[in-house]
Amino acid sequence: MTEMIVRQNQQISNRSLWIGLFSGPVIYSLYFVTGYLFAEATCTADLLHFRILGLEAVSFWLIVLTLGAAVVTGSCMVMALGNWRRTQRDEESRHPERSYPPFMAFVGAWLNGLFTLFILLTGVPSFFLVICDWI
Amino acid sequence: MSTNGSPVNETTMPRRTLVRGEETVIAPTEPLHDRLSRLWDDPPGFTGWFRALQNDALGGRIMGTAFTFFLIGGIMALLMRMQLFRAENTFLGPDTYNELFTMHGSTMMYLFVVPMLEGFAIFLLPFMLGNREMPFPRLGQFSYFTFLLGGILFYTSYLFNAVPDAGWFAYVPLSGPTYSPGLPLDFWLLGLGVAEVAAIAAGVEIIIAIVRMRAPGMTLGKMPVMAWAYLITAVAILFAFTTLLIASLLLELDRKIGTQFFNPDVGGSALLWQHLFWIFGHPEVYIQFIPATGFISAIVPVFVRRPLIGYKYIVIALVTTGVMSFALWVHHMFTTGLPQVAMSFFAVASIFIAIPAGIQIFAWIATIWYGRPVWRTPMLFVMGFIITFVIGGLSGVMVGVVPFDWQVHDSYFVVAHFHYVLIGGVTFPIFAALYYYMPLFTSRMLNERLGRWHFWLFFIGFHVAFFPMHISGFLGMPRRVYTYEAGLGLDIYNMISTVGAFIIALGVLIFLINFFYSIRRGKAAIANPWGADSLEWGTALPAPNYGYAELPIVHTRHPLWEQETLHRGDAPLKAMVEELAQWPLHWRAAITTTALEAKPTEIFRVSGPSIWPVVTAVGVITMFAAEIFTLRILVLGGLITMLIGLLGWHWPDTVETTERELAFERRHNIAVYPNGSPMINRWSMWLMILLLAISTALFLFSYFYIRLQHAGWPYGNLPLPNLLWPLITTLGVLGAAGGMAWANRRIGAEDQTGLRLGLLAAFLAGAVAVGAIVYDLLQLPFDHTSNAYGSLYYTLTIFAAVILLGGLAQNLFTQIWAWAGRYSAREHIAVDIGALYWYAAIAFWIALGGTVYLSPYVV
Repeated sequence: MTEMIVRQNQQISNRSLWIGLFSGPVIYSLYFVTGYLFAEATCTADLLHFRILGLEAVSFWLIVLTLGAAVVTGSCMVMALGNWRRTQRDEESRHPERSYPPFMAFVGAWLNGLFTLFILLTGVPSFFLVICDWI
Repeated sequence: MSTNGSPVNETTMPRRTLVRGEETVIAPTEPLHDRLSRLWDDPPGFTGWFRALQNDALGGRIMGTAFTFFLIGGIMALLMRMQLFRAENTFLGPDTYNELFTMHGSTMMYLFVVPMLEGFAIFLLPFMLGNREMPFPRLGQFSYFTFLLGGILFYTSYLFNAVPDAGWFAYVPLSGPTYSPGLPLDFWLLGLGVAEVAAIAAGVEIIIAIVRMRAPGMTLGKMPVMAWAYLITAVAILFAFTTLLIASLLLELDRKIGTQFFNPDVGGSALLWQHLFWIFGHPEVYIQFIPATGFISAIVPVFVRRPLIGYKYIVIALVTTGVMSFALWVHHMFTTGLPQVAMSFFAVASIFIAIPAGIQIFAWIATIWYGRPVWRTPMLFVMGFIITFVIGGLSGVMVGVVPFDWQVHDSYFVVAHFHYVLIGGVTFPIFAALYYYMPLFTSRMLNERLGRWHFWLFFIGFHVAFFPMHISGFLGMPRRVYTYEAGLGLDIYNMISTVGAFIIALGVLIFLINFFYSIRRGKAAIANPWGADSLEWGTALPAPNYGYAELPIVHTRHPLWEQETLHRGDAPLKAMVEELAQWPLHWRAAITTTALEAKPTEIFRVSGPSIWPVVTAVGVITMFAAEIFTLRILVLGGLITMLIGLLGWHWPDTVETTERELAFERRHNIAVYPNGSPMINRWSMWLMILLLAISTALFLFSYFYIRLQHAGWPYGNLPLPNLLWPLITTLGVLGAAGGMAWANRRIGAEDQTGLRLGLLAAFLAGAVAVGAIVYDLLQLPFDHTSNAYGSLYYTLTIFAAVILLGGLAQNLFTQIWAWAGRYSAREHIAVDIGALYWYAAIAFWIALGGTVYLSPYVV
């Protein structure tokens, strides 16, 4: 009975696996489109000419967006890692038909990790560039 | 050396054979093979050729047609190189040169690579996935004929002396009505537009095949890497090619009916074209590269005789590459004067996309390192790919650095870079795959000696041709120039490049000789001549039209290497596939499976040969061709032909579910659908909705991109929209969706009257919605030519009307069959997907209508 309860607790839902798999790419895509369009729109429309915490307002909001997106993908990475660890313990995942949870969890963890890194690095120029300098 | 010490040749290729157990090659016993062949073979004769739709026939045709375009594009390249052989040459004039680089680039990018790769997919995927056929054979047939006819239409421009000459990217304002009047750019836009439709159609089919039609047991983690590559590519095709279609539509509207999307004098934006084009154009090169990496991942393990190292990492890399490919497009626009921070997004992405590419390269190198390589021709092309693509990738990272790009933009350095990645990264793998899969295509081996000559000439010729271009680019030679002055130091490099180009041509000629010789007199291939691990090699040769008589059950990633038999599984599953092999034999049966576990869910009838997809393709090409010449009556004729074709194509060929089929259902707990798969139909509707969503997003992007260029809106002091008519449209759309929902629920309760009334109510409400849009447009004080705002107003609202009209057309067709009593609680998929379409229409109307009618008040 205890073993059954433990096994049920360890079972990973397909929804959690799909979220873990797709969250990184989806959040990166949303972050990228939102950030780029925000930067282009504010510069084109000549908006937000003030400073927040010593940074240009556009820079500030881009950094907030970057950190927010990174936190979400980072959290999804942690969730996917947790799923992966559970699959290593879960006997049922070792059945050939249930081989997909470890695979999806592993891939999801790596995807979220990579995209967290990409998001953070994309936000770095916001610290240094004069945002609406037109070249 | 083989395991028994004898030299390796094509008949003794070492294979990872089993210690014991049955052979893994299936040789269907007579007369089952005869019966299945009669059912699955394409019809014979002249008309049979047009009606044929077997995946192997279609795939072969697509590849053959694409390769023909490759040869034509290659000849154009040779002509250009002859002109550039020496300074101030007069072999070609500037106009002819402009036409050549336009046709060369367009042919290679639109008519060779993507169709070639899709041809491979259509041929291979059913075998590789262990199923019988693609989900929509008629869609594949339509795809082929639109590709073929679109390519022919494109080249017909020569007959009219109206050859496109604005580059494969057709930048405005050069490609607009002012600077390119006449037919050439219309041939470019409309001729290639047809081919783009073909690519999208094939993409839809590939997605459904890979996600829902795999062999039982082929879970996600056991899919071949090539299947992953094609899945990611097909999704990218939907996004990228739709973008190009919308961009082409907007430009053609500017050229033909006077809209002003790209005219800055009246509020439009020339940069909008560049954004839209490169949102397509950059993913396009990854759409080409990703399947090529799938080929490499298939070939390397076989020729080093060990499984791929880093399967999971390669999947991660493929997904990352596919997603990030959409985050690079502005790197083609670094010199257009964008804000720094905007460019920084794309610079970071352009550099970091090297990471997933590098992961794959290292995985292949590690596999080769730890394996026992056999250096046959496919493997030679793999090594050529690795060397060449890495060089191209390095120069790609260089041009991703913004200040560096400012120096080399539009120079021959960029020409060198993209030929290194596209020939190195795509054409080498295509040749590797041709040598590898030729036994499967033709049951003959290509000659190994000629293959080696081909490889070395192609490899050496390529580097001789394109490496010097890095230098001539650094020396300042611009792209797309028909000549250059003597004494600038460019002469020797151009001369070397031209010599290299002809060496490449010699290599390709040897391939052609090899191919035509081998299909007649080449060594007959044995089954699985390379000792490969994946299912496409698991049948006898020539591969039967029906694929596997008894569908395989997969337990590992390398079924032909690691499974004692392809038919071991739990008893119920085994009994089902065994019985399916014998039955049904009066219609073509394939299975669908769940996305994750690949558990069988349905047996369904795959559509058989038909002329209607060809009629539909003829209708489409007639419309596009007639529009080039502005023959609107003929456009209408083409539209009617297309609609007739669609009607015939989808005319229900209803058969009753027999008692035997119901018994099969009960016995094996799997649904049987002799009238088509509800699941596949639902998926196709979801993908259609996705295409409309992408189109809607692009229209919205265009609207707000132009909006933000101007302080005041509506531009030109035009009046704000009237809100009465969109309100009526909104009520109409909601009414239509509600009517469809009710009809769907009623037929679920076997209420035929409720079904009919619901459909009728939906139709009437939808008609009112469309009518309100039309009435609003008719009473506006401005038109689509007034300025960019007017163009956007008309285009977005008409697009919304077209979406609703599509729903009305589907509704009408469904009503005909509803009134004929053809639907039941068990089978009413047309009603189900019709309702789905109208739910989506609500969202589209909110987005489009909200943008056009409400946003001027708000933003």
